[in-house]
Amino acid sequence: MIVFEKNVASTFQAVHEAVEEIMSFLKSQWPWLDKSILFKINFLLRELMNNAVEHGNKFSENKKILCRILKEDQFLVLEVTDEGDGIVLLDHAFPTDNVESLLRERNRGYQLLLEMALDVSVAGNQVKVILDLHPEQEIRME
Amino acid sequence: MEKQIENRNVIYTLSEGLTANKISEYSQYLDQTLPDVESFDEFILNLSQTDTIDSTGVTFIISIYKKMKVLGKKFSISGATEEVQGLFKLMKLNQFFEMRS
Repeated sequence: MIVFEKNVASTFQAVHEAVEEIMSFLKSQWPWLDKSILFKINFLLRELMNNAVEHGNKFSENKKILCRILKEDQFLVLEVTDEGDGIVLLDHAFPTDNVESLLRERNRGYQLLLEMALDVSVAGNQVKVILDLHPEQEIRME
Repeated sequence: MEKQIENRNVIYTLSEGLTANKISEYSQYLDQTLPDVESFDEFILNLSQTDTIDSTGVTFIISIYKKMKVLGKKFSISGATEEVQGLFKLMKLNQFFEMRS
């Protein structure tokens, strides 16, 4: 079931405002969501939309991103579609045992998506992330 | 973002999120206000009023850490929420700098 849908301009500020709106909506709809899950949703939405704005639409004023949020049982699906040429994912993980890799200044967002979400999938210019809303089954970040 | 100097610590406090839409503003403020290198020993980033962060914000923190390392200064984070601290632990960045409550 779609619970939220919004077209967002291709700027970081528009993404920020959209995330604020979505978070207010989710808190009002489901006040039982705990702060750990709210933090993850906030983080994941920013990663998905900032990537779409920067790498998909390349900050084009003529292009929008579509953010759609669906709820399926205990799962929240975050779906972001841009108007770019499609996404090419890195086919390797970054090593976590050397300083240079840990302190890299690029390519951090996608790896965090993989670590924080239950599932991440890509189809063309759309990225879909599934998050488990059930706190007992939530994968803790620590 | 506001700057304070206490003893030989320079403390920058964020009053908004550490997110992509704010990073160029923070970087510019930092460039304009970072004190003379001889006048401080430690750079403290106070996140007590910040509950949102994204990977651009994480990169911003890493860039300050690297800059302070080059200058021979200590870098630490204070007041981060449990969730922000958890994020840094997830990325194994907590081994590089202290996170004070």
